[in-house]
Amino acid sequence: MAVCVAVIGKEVNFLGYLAVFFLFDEILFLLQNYPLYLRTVSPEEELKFHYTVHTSLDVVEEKVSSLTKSSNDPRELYLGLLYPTEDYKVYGYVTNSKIKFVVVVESANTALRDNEIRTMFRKLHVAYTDMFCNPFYNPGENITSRNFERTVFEMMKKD
Amino acid sequence: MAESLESLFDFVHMEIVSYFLNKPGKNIDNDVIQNLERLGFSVGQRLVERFTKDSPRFKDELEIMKYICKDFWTAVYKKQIDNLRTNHQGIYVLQDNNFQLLTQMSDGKQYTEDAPKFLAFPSGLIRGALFNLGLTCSVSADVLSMPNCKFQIVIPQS
Amino acid sequence: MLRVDFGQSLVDHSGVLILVQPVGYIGDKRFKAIYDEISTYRRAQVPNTTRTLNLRYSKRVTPQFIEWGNFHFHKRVLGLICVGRCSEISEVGKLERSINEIKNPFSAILLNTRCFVFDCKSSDEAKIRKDVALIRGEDHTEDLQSNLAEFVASLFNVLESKRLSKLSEKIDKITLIQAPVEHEVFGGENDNRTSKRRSIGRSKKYTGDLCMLAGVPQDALSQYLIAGEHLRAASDVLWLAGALEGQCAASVVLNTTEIEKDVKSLILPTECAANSVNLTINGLGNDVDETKFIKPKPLSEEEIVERLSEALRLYNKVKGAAVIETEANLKFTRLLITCKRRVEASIALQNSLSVNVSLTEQEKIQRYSTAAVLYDDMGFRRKAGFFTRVAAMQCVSQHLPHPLWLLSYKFLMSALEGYRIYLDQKDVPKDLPNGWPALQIRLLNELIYTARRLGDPLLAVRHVTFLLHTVHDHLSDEEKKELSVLLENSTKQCAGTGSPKEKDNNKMDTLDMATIPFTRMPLVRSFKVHPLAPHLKPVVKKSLVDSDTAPAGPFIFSSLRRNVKQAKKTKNTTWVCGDLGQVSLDVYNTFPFELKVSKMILCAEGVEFEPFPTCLSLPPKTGPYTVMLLGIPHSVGQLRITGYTVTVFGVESTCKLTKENLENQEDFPVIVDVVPPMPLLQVSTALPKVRCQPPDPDAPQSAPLVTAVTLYAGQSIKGTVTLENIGKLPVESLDITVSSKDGERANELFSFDDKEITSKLPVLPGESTDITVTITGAHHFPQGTESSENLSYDPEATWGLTGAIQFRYSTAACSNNVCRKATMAIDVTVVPSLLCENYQIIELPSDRSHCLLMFDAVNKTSNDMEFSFSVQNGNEPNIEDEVFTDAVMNIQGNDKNRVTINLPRFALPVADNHSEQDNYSDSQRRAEYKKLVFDLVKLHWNLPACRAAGSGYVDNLKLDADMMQALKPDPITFGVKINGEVYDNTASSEIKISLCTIVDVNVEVSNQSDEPHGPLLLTIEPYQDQASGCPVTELDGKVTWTGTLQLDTPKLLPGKSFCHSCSLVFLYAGQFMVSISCTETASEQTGTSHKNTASGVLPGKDRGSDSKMTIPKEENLRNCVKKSWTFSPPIKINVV
Repeated sequence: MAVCVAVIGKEVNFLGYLAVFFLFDEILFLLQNYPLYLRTVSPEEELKFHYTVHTSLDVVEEKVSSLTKSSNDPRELYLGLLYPTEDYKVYGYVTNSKIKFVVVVESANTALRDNEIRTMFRKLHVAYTDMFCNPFYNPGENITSRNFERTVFEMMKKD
Repeated sequence: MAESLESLFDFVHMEIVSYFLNKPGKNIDNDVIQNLERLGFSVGQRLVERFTKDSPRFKDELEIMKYICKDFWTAVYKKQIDNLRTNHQGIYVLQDNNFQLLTQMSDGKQYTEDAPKFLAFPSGLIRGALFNLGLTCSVSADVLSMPNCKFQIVIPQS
Repeated sequence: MLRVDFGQSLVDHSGVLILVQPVGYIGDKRFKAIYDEISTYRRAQVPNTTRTLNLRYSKRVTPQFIEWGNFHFHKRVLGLICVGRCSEISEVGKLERSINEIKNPFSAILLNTRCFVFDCKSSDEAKIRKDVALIRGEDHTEDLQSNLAEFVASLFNVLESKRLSKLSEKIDKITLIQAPVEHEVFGGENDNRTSKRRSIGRSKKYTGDLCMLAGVPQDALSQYLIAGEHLRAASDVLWLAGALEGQCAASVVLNTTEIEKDVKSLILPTECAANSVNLTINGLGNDVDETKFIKPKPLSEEEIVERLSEALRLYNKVKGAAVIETEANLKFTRLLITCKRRVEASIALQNSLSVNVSLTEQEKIQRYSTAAVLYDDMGFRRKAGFFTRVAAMQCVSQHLPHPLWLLSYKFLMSALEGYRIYLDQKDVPKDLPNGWPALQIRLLNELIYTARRLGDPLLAVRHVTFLLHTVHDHLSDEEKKELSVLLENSTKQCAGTGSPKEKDNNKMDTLDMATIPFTRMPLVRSFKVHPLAPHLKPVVKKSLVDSDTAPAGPFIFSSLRRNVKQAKKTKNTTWVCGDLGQVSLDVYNTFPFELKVSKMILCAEGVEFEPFPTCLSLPPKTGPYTVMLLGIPHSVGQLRITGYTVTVFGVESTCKLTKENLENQEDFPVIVDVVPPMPLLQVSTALPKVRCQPPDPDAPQSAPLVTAVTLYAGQSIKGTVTLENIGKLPVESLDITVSSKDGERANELFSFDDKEITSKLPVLPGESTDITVTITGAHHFPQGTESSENLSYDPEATWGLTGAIQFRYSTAACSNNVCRKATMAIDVTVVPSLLCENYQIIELPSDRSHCLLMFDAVNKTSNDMEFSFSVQNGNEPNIEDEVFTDAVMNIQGNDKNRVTINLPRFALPVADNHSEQDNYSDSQRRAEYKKLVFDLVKLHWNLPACRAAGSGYVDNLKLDADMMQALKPDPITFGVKINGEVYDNTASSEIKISLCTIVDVNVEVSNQSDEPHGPLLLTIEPYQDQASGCPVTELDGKVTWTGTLQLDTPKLLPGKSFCHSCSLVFLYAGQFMVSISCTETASEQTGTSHKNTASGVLPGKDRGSDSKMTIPKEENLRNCVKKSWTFSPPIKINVV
């Protein structure tokens, strides 16, 4: 199924924040568009996927801003296909808390329908929320939760 | 059952306030309020992460604000905000005529002085929720007469 | 231009391509300037029509570029402009060969050639060839323009004629135009009809291209539409796609109504005006109804997108059309960007990149950099960054004969933004992790590598430090160490090539490399401004501090806000101009290698400041190390410490101070007040120094001199204090205060002579002066009222304190504002000497104006003591009538003697405006009396064995009520006049009068006390003294009188008096006495009834009637008399 799953942190209006609070410590942990989590099927390809996921953020941003502008659209969290490359298809999903999920699947895998991708993202979101609400996680930290990891491995399992 | 849960939150909140107040060490009122606010901030972030899991994407600031007034408030305090006003330039005033955390205190002005301590956590809750939804803002609370209170949200315009 | 034109857009379909080339020796700069000037003319207006030509210029076109010129006419080079310079006409000929060389590859397609020759002096145009134009004049703009217009007109004429001939071409003459990839000969025989349509279609496409170039997009569109119909029918995939592209291009040109403002337009000469006869379009077969394509409406955006997509699909099917496909994709991308359809644009761009086309290395670089630019245009910064980086990698590909390191470096630098790396971190909040560390580290490493390959170690150093600094948290120790090795090597290289500044070569300039503040190298915390050492520290005088709040500062604030701020902000530290100031900070090295800071200095603004550099070497991963940064302020004002500059690995970096650096966040911003220069005094004394233990361990310099003195109580010695001015300014004001931590009594111990001090000023620099200090061994008794009696103290104990003598000094100029202080501590130990105890005060019945003070004088020393005393006249203290006892008393060691002193009785001075409220309270009165007695009695002692002498005081005297009574003079005094003459009962013994004469007795009763008395009963009573000593008052018939002998008076106020007169007549001879007495009574009736409680009612409280000091001369206790006073001794009258 998926060959790469990534979770990317939010982007905060820092200057606005600083203007109000003058506090660094509270937000220091909030990294701008920082990769909170990235797993690939084959670790040796990780760097490649880092680039893929990183550049896909451009499309995510574009889609989010164009989707929110048009009010008629069903404002889904699922963004659909971000872009296809020769070998891969990159899908995106953004939570209301501006956390971005990116899933990369192989283009060759035609069995995957949009609906299945959607389900995959829902699972990922549920896992993320559970992880976020566990007391040992501080917002903005890298994700190390086992439960979350399990969900991701499930998604990347070849079937 | 619902009532007992509600009471549970009320009582835990009271205990938290008094815990911070009576913590050993120097306890300037301001520190207590700040600590409570931060506590609320953390809780707000997590709460909203969970609550918005199934909501559609918010279109704009106002929609987020409406969400806070309706769904979020109902989920936390079992009622909606009574009045939401805005100048459309980043200032929102949320008014709750019968704020749950103040209902246990006698009406009128007797405890008005102590009210800030009991509104710090809720203020932080709002700020944390909004922060996680992508809005950085400051929240201040105000009591005119118990249990009627207002939360003013200021989103700095860039 | 390369084979693939990556910069194309749809509008370029209408562009007439002109190649501009230098010939001969013109120089790059000159050529570039001329090229730039020519290329501003992007449009040419055809006179008398609305037609405009679009012009495209290029400096370089490879022959491969025109490969597809048959397919897309705009890919042909139509004109050639050569730019050369000659001083003589004759030289023009020499250019010919090079012109031809340039011309040759394009000779088949060039419509015209022109050579612009600059700087030619002669004007003989006849000799030169037709295709050479001389551009003259200092300002050649006009000449160039006209020549260019003429040249473009010639191109236009050819184009126009081609177009017209094409339009009127007969159907049977149409030949098949072939694209470069079409090598196979179409089997015309077997499908004649299809091949015919193909020919017509291609011809129409070709005509369309000509129309586009000739400035008639409307016609072009209709030609393309017709072509499309034919080609579709003939299923000529490649050309159909070309026609579709043409349709879109024509529509885009038609749709763009607004003309770019800054594009200069050429006006073509009128003779070229197209004889635009409205040609009837040649009917080319009846397969297509061409009439419906006359004056077609341009395609909408949606249609354009649709058709272009179709074209792309078609190209994709054709083998060998990769070049055209790539270009079409890029055109599509640009179109979508202008339509703001960014996601689609990104997909089109991505498609263009995935087209499998064999490219040269140069083309690859171009391809990726173009992609980067386009991604940037659509706002996809990350993608742009990615492809900029790819382009950079391409620049140094192994396949290139010479890797383009500099270009690669430039690409990498511009890729930084896409990865959110800001070399200039001015606008980015400090230390905020921003972006994608894994990728950032990679990019920065590549940058370092490239910089090193560039042969610029300094640049590499900067990048390494930047990398270490920004993504510090994400680097492993291993990586950091590697980097440090790199750093060291690079720094060595830097050092080898001279100082970094000198090495600032061109590369650096062009790259405009901003340095980032090395706030982590080292990490600075606990930044703290130190006040000057206590003896250097200027002290702001109190009065100024108070008034300081009123005047406005340099900023205008609302009063409300300013007050709040002041309350928050603690006082600034004060430094003195010209004196070394210190700042301490803790530095940490968080890196796993040794950090060598070759220079670290403070940065300050506001006043002239001379910082002193510090050099540090921090072992790996250690800290904190406390570092002192020093500097001398050289002018007066507010010194604002803005940060510090560190030089690490040869890179200088200025770090701004932030709240995080400070020890107390409230201290931000760091401001130091610098006051004018001040003198500096060194204080020393000739008094014996006993120990050197600092009095205050926290401030060891606060009292550099520790001097100890031991005194007997009452003894006083004089000492010399030497003040030496070791500063550079004169000391013009000096103020000495004495204080002590041990108590407030230091002022009693030390005293200075103010006159002496003022006489010694000013103390000039380098000079010194002596002043005298008098140290007196005061007795260790608590001061104040008798309420302190309960305090436990031992009068016999040895006591002492450390007195701190503060010298506040400054120049005259700034004496009102600030001063410096020097402190000298003197330990004083007071040993008891003379002690007085067992006090007693008794009345002297014989002398009513004096009383007796008696006490034991105890010698607390083990030596013999000579003792004497003196009494001052207390009532008239101005008169120096001290009375010394004749004999000096000797008291042996640890022995005591009883001393009796005749003390005048005295009253407290009465305030003039007397009222009831002014009355002293009882304890006050006592304290007052005690003080007066204390002042009155001076004791002197001398210990000959110890050669010590001193004075003593009766300061431990405790007055009780009886003593008070004895001390106070009688409140009621009598003034008696007999027969008009003052009778002094102490002096005159008796008055002799004759029998039966009238004796006038006049009594004046005065209240001398400060209390009112009364009501009073004055009694005058004559009596006779019998031998038995009993007075006989029953003098029936012996005395008769006129007037009353008893008088009641109301209350007598202090200081008031009343007179009473009566006359006595003695009827027998003999000795008579007259007693005069005054009795204070309660009113008679009430007095009797309150007999037992009288004392409670009457004023005076504890002065009970049973007091033995009450004068009980008056036996008549009729009214429970409280007090009575008698004129004593009585008047003695001898009747003869």
